[in-house]
Amino acid sequence: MNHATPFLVHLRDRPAALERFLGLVRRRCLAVERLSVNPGPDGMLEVRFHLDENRTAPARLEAELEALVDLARLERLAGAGESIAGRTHNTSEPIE
Amino acid sequence: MTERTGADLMCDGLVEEGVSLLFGHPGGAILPFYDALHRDGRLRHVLCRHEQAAAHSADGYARASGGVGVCVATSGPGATNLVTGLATALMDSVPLVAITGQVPSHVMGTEAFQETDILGITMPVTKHGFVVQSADEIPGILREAFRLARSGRPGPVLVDIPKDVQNQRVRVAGPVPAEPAASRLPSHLPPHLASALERAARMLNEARHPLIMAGRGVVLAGVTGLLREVAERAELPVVTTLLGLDAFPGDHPLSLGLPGMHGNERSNRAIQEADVILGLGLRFDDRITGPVRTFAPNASIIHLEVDAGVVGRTVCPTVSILGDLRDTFPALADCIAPARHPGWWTRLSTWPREADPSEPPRPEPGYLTGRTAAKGLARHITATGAVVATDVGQHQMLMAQELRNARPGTHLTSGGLGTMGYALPAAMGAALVGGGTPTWVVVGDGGFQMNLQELATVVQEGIPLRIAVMNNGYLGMVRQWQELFHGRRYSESEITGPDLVLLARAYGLEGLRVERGEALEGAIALAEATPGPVILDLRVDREENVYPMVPPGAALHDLVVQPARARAGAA
Repeated sequence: MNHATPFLVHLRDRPAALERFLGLVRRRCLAVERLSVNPGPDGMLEVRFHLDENRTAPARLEAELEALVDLARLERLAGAGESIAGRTHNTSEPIE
Repeated sequence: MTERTGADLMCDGLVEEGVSLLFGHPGGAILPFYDALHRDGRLRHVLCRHEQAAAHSADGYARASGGVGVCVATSGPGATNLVTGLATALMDSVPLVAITGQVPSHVMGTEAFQETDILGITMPVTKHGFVVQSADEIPGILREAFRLARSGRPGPVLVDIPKDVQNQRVRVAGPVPAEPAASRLPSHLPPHLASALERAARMLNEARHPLIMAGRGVVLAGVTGLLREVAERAELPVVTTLLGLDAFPGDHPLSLGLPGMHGNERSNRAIQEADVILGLGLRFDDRITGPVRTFAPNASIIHLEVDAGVVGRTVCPTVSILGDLRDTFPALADCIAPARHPGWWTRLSTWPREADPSEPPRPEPGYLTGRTAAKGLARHITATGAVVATDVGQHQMLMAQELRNARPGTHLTSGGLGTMGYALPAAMGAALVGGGTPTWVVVGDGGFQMNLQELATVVQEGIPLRIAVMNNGYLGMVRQWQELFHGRRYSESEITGPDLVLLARAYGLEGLRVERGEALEGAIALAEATPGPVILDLRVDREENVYPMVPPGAALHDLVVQPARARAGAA
């Protein structure tokens, strides 16, 4: 049975930000599916995807994404817009 | 308001970050920076003969000094030559800033001469990367690059600067004041952290077979003194990973030494019989754990670590405490009660602490074995407080087993990536930290030939390295695996090399050859007394194996001691 958890990510839109995100997903073999990218608020990149929980625990994905300097927000969604766990990351200030 | 070029701002930014030494190699796309360097005069540059060596030198400088290492290369091949050095630094959590020239902005993307997408190439081997698009971004980006390199789990950061941006003139108002450092700690520990610490302390205080596993994070956080204090207070045995060897004095009675694939018997069996393991600043990587399902089968694990991605990646801890060890370890330490564990220490003492408790067999009297050479070198290095950089392979494991270093930053090796060719350039960087600490290179003849061009840098810069080449005419660890696991088929592992004494003379170093065990001590003393750099060509046993060894896929308690002298009845 496929347990797919939806996630919402905001990345600061800097050169190669999306590549860094995708590269991390590939390198750490994170089971990301159905990924879409759209313009987000405040010039952010908004990335939505589902995580196959049978292959990657949500906590594992969250821990790995912590390493991304471009990460501004990471939210685990329960379903259509319902948030079961939300965190705002502030690991890096935008470049002046 | 004054007018400065982008290249001037690069110099300013480096000086503001406290940089005084760079390792690099010039080329077309980075020439404006080298021109600024020439007229600026505040920064010393070491001209390495290959960019890979520049990255390793910056790495060695960072590990030995505790600061950030800086390497510089031009675009294209110069930049790609840095990649191995960046990957080495990433795996071992070494703070580096790599500055690369890039082709001018208007030709980027056209396959211009010496153009590569170095940001794309280095993405998997850096913490972060920047492409500077305008000279006025340089101060902020350099500041951010250094902050990222140092912060959290340290690592390499790339800053790629097109040539036209280096030449671009901008008006600047003067030095931008540094931002005040943010406090790492909230004034009160968050409730969930306080309860995790309480639980961890209770587990340790109630443990019957406790054990500390210390990694490089202990050195990086500067909590080696606290580690010793806690271990002594509760009589806790301490194993130290390859990168954490200098986190705890190897000659301390509580030290069990190196665990893992070439770890000693006491260390590995302690892990397998421990009931609580406190992991401090380490990744629990596969060379330490073996198959995870067999690792520490009786233990509950407490993991203190700064990198969230590391926690639970291999070993699943019972309690994990995420944060800087400077903050989390003192908080835990406060809760650890004085204790004694006589039964546990009696059990531990039944297994040998020494990797090789008896003298290795010798084909003939006086024959020089790698073990004998490592014992002699390690004894001397430990006694003199010298810095040692080891390369990768059999000699690396022999030295790790024999060294008893007590001071952080004195043992440099490529533990994660396992980069042959690392030792010589890394030692160059370490030796230039200052303070006059003697610096040794211990390297195999295979790894030595991967970066021996740096002997020219050693001589040009007057770096008094003592270089001990364990010369057995083989890629020794490859040969060992071929002997043990591939039916003794020595496929492409036998290597020839130059006459190292003649090579030393050709480059302008002193060279000595040692072929017999009894000559070793005299040669080491002579090397130490030589004012300039010197190479010792140590002709060691050609087909010696390194033991103990945990065969690949086996559990730590299935380690193999020297087969001919296996102890009967080892439990």
